[in-house]
Amino acid sequence: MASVSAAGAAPALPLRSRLGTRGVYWLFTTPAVLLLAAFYFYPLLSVLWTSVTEPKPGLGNYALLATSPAIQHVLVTTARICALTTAVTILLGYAVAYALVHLSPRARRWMFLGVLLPLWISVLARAFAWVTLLRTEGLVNQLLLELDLTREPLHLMWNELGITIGMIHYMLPYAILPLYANMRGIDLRLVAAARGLGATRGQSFRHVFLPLSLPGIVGAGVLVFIFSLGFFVTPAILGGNRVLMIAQYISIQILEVVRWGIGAMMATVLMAAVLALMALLARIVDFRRLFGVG
Amino acid sequence: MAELKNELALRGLSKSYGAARAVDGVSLDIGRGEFVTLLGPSGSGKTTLLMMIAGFVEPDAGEILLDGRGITPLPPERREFGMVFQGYALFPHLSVADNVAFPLKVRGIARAESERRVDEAIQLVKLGGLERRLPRELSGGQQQRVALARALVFRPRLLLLDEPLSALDKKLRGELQDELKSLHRTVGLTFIYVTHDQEEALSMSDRVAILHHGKVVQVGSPGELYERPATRFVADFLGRSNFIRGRVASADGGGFRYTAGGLGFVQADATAPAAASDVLIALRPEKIQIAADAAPETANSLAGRIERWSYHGTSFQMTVTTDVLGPLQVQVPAWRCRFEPRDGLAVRLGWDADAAIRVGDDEA
Amino acid sequence: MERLSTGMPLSKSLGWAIVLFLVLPVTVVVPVSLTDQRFLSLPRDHLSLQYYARLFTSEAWLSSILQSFVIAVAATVLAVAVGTLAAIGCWRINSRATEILRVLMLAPLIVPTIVYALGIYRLWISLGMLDSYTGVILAHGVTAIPYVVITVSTALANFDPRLEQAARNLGASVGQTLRRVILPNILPGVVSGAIFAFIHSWDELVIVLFIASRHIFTLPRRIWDGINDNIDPTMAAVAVVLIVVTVALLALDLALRGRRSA
Repeated sequence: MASVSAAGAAPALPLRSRLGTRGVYWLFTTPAVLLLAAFYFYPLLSVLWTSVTEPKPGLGNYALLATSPAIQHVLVTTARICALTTAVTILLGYAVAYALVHLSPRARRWMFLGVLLPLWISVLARAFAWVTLLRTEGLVNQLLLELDLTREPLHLMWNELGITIGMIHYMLPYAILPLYANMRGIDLRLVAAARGLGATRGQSFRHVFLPLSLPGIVGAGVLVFIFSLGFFVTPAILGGNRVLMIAQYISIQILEVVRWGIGAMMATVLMAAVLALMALLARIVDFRRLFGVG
Repeated sequence: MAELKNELALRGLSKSYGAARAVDGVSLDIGRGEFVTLLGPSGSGKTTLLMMIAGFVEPDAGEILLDGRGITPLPPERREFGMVFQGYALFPHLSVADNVAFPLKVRGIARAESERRVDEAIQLVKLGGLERRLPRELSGGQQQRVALARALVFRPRLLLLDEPLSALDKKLRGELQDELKSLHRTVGLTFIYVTHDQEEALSMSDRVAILHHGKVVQVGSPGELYERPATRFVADFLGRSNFIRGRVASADGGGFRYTAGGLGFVQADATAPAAASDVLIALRPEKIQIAADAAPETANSLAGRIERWSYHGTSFQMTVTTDVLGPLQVQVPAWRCRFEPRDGLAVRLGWDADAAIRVGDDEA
Repeated sequence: MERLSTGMPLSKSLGWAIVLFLVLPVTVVVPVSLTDQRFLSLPRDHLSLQYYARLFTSEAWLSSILQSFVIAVAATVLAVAVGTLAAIGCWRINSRATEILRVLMLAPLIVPTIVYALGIYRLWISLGMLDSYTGVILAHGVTAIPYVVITVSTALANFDPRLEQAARNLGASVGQTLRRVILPNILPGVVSGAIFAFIHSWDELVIVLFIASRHIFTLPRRIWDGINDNIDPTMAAVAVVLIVVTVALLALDLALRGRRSA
C-alpha cells in the first residue's frame, strides 16, 4: 500500500514528465491489477491447470463427464433445480417489478426496501431462518399439524423442494432489479396509447408491455440461472447431504475425498458454463447497466 | 337533427389533483367535422381535458356526451376515438405497418381486410415504401405521420391530437400544419387539437377554446378571438396588447368616453358600461398609428417619445413613452413608416374609436 | 400524462404478497431467538433473553465475532484503497482498455465463489498461508474489489470531468487533485463501497471453509458448523445480531446517500 500512496502523492513534476498524465492514471490501476492477477486470476488458472494435470496429465478427468453416472447425476440435478428456480423466480420477480413501476413513488420506496433488505442480509441467516421454518419439527409443520391440515409432518427440506424454496428466496432480488430496470425504460404512455387505439387491458399488456419487457426477462433469467449454478450455501444447508448440486459436490471432492483432479474439472465445467452464459447475456443487455456501472 | 349539431358535448367537467383544480367546470359543444383547438399555457388543464375525452382520466364531476349518449364511464378502448399522442407513442418493437395495423389487430379484423386498410392509411399520410421500418429509423415528421395513420386506420369517431407538432422544428411544423389541415378536409372527421402554440391554433382551427386555470375563458373562431378578446388574459395570450385602465365619463348607444391619466378618450362599444365605472381597454400595437410631424387624424391621440425601437424586416417595433399612459408598444409596417425612428424622437400616437376593445379584467 | 390512471389493484397486491414472502421468513428468527424453550421453537410461556446471554458470554462466539470483524475491516481497507484508485484511473483514462479492465475487475461477482475457493486454497497451500489472517484478508479483499469499483464508478459518472481539468489548470498536481477535488466529491460512493465490501467479508463462508480451519474460525464458519451439527436457539440469536448489523449498515448507507442528494 505504501507504493500506492507514493504514486498519488509523489512530487508530481518528475513523474508526470516521465509518464504523462495518462501514465499517472494508469499507475492508479496497477495495485488492483497486480492484486487481482496474483490472488484472483492466477488461482483460477491454476484450477484449470489442475483439471488437466491431476492425477495424471491429459483429459482423463473430462472423460468422466461421459462415463461417470454419479457426475452425470450431479449435473442433471443441478440443471433441473436451477431451471425450476429460474422459472419460478422470474415469474414472481416479474410480478414485483410490474407492481414497482406502477406504484406511487412513496409506496415504491417501501417495496424497494422490502426487495433490497433481504439482498444484503447474511445468506446464512436466511438459510437458517428457512431451516427453522421447514424442518420436520419446524414452524410450518407445527402450524399445519395444529390446524389439522396434515397428520404427518411434511418433508419440506433435505430434498429438492427445500433447496428450491431457499434458492428462489435468495435469487428473487437479483431477478427483480434487472426486470425493474428494464420496465422503468418502457414508456407507460405506450400502454395508454394501445388502450386509446382499442386494445383491452389484457391486449395492451400482451402486445405492447410484454414484448417490450422481453429483454429484461431474458437478462434476468440468464443472470439468475448463472448465480444458481454455482450456489453453495443454501443448497448445502437445505439439501443436507441428500441432494448434491455441483458446488457442494466440488467441495466434497476437495475437502473430504481429496480428489483434486475431479474437483478441479467440475469447477472448470462450472466456470465455463457461467462464462458462456455471461457472454450470451452480454449480447442481449448492456453489462454496465446491469451492474450499475457507468 | 340535434346530434348533427352537437356531436361531442362536455358538460361541467371537473378534475382535481389534491388541492389543485386541473379542470374546473368545463362545458363545450363540438360539432361534427369541426376542427376545434384547446389552447392554453402549460398547466391550463388542456391536456387533462383531452385525456378525459379520451377516457384516460376519470372526471370528478360532469359528463361527456357523444350524439346525446353519455360515454363518461366507457374505458378508453371502447370509445373508438383516434388519438395522436404527444411524442407519438409509437410502439418501438413494431414496424410502421404493424404499428398502423395494431388497432385492427386488437379488434380482430381479418388479415386481408387489415392489410388493405393499413395500405390505404399509409398512402393517405404519404409513407408508402417505409412499411417495414422501425419507428426509430424514421425522422420526426415521418413518425408523426405514422401516428396519424395509426389513429385513423380504424375509422374512429373523432380524432384527438395532443400537441402533435411540438417535437418538430419550426419549418417542418409549418408544412405539417398545412398537411393536417388538408387531411382534415379529406377525411371530414372531427379533430380536437391541443396546443400551447397560439399561431398554430389561429392558422388551423375552425374554432378555438382558450383555457386558463382549468376554465374555458372564451370560445370562438380565430378571427373573433383575435379581434374581440373577452378578457385581458385572452388579449395578452393571443398576440400582444397594450392595456389602458380608465374610468367611464359618459356613454351613449354607440360607445363611451373615458378618462385615463387625466386625458379623455373615446371607445366604440355596442353595450356601453355604466357611467363612472372602471374599464380596461386592450389596444393592439399594430392598431396604433404613429407620426413624427402632424398628429394622426384619429379619434384618440396623444404625444410621446421613442424609448427603444427595433427593425424586424417587415415592421418596426417601438416602445413609446407617454406622459399620460406610460410606455406603449407600437408596431408599424416598415413601408408605411414615414420617418426614420431614433431614440428620444418626439412622436404623436393615435387610434380610432373602434381600433381598441374593452375587455374583462381577469388578471387582477 | 403522469396522471394517467393506472389503478391495477390486483397486480399491486400480488407484488406486495411476494415482497412479504421475501421479508417475513427472515423475521421469523426474531421470536425464535427469544424462546424460553431448550430447542428451536417459538416462545411458549414468556420471552427470554437467555440465548443472547449465552451468545455474549460464550468465548467461542465472541472470538469468532472479533475475528470476523478484524478480517472484514482489514479486507475493506484493502478493497477500498485499491478499488477506488482503479476506478478513478479507469474513469479518467476512459479507453477501450479500461473498459475491458473494468469488466475484468467485476469477475469475482460472476465467477462462482466455489471455483475461486479451490484456486486460492491451492495457492495458499503452496505458499504456506492456510489458516492465516493474511490469507483470509487477501482473499476477502480481492473479492471485494468489484463492490468498490461499482459504487465509486457510479459516483464518478455523476462527477463532471471538467472539474478535474479545472483543478489541473489551476495548478494542482495529480495528487492534490485527487485529495482535494475528486475524493471529496465521490466520498459517498467510496463509503458505500466500503459498506458493501465489509458486508461481503463479514458474511463470506465458502472461501473460509477452504482456507481456514482452526486458527481462523470466523462467524459464518461457526454458524455453518452450528447449523450442521446441533441446532440450538443460540443460532437464532446470532442470526438476529447479523441481521441487525446489516440493517444498521444499510441504514447508514441510505442516510449518507440521502444527505448527498439533499
